[in-house]
Amino acid sequence: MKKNNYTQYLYFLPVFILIVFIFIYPLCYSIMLSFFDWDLTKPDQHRFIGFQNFIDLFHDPLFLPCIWHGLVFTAFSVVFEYLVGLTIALALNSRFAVLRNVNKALLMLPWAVPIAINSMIWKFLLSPNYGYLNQIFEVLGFNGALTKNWFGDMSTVLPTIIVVNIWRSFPFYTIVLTAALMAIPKEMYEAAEVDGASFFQKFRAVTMPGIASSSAVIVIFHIIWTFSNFDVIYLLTAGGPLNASEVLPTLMYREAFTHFNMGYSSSIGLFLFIVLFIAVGPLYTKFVLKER
Amino acid sequence: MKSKSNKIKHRGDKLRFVGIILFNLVALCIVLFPFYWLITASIKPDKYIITNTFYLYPPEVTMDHFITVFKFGNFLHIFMNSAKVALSTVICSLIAIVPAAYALGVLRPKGTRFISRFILSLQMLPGILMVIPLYLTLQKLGLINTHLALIISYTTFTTPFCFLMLGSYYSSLPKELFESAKIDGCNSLQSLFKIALPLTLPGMMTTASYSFLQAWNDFLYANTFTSTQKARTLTVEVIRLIGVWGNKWGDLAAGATVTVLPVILVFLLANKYIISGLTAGAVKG
Repeated sequence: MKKNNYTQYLYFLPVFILIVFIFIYPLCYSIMLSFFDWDLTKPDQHRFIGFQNFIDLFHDPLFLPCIWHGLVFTAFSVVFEYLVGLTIALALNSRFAVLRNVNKALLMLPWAVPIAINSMIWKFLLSPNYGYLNQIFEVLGFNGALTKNWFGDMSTVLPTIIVVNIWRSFPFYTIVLTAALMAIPKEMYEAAEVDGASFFQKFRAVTMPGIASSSAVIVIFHIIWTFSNFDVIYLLTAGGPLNASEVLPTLMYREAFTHFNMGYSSSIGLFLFIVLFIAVGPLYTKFVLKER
Repeated sequence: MKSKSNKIKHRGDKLRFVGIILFNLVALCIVLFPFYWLITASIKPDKYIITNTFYLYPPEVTMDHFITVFKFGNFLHIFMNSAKVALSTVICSLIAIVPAAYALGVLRPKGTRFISRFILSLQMLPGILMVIPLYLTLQKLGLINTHLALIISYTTFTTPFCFLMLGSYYSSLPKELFESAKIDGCNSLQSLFKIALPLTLPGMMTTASYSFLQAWNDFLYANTFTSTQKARTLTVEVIRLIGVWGNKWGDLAAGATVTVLPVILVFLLANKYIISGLTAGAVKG
């Protein structure tokens, strides 16, 4: 099929149409909106205001807290998701592990179930009065010291969200890393053993290079997904209490659908995208796009 | 069993075996306990839910919560909404993606590499960025509070991932098959239907189950684009009811169970395909 027949491009047509209308057009629309004062409730007063939305954003008292919460949320989530995911992948890959496929299926459930339902369950399990975690701490005798209003206390809310997010996301790492570990030829470990390598030497010389590229891909994707994540935080705390868990996506959503400032909200979205593009874009090109 | 007893040769191995199994069990308990709580809470009376006693299993079983949810919560209607949206998304995304994946994997016209890189780059766009412009556009088109709005959005947002995943299935098919079909006089459309489709059924299963889960699980778009009782889907309804029903955790758990069971069912039936698709997508990049 070497001849370049133009009818072949027709096969891309449905996907092309969808992408133009739901990706490209909205993206351009969003860029345009961020330079406008665009109140949804005042359709006759939309006007071009240049960079004013961005100036307002940088002066927003919630701007720096949002960035900080986003960075903390992303850094701790991704690092611990990776560590937990890798540990379990190593355990599943051990020659002593049993029922690997059943294990994988069951471990994937938190990832497969709607975030709306996960967050509802955790709201109960971590509720201050009858939540199971506080009850367990009470039984263990930590009453007062460790029984907290996990989502309602400004000092515990962010770490609690991070833990729930790790619980939800680590399975994805486990699945990908298990596949990468399985792809490492057994002979390489045997050769290392013949050379008298210890467990850690084997890990450094054989395991780590074997899983490096898949690790890069999942970490890059999770940095993007976590920093721009809306559902987990919105559904657990909606950014509260007193903005203690506010991040750019939740701020953006409230500006748009509670205050109807579509222009200002779009500028938050565009800023978020630019930050991600600068921070992750080069890595994305290097690790994700390289084989394509 | 034979192979297992062969694996355990030394005392140290026995210790490691026990360690791995224990670690495995602890991990499974932590991962699965919340779902265990959800399902048991949906079948036990409220007095055993909001209590200071920990019950490992329900002391008393009741179907009251499910009756409430279906009778007063109108969950049958909302369940059908979710099913309609999710199944339509699956069908639409297959119709859009199969030809494109075939072109990507088999026909490979000039510029295919550019197209696939471009589509992969779209995965960098955060979903939240698209909500506002999509909302304004759908509003102009009069599609707010319709399921069509959700179906179009979900079909598009699952496209990049499904396209690349299914594309890799197609490119793994032996090229000779298509060459000999061409010699026998098949045009490209005929070889898609007669040769490629039957051979890529597992890939289509992966695509279908992935889009189903994405559409069924979504909260952001469903919550933004549909607000009427008539159009609402399950995830949005459960979240809304937390505010309305307050501490009636039994009823909420029943609603959540109704939402989760199809997901668990699809996932347990199709997890082989989903897992292989996810790893292919991420490992190969």
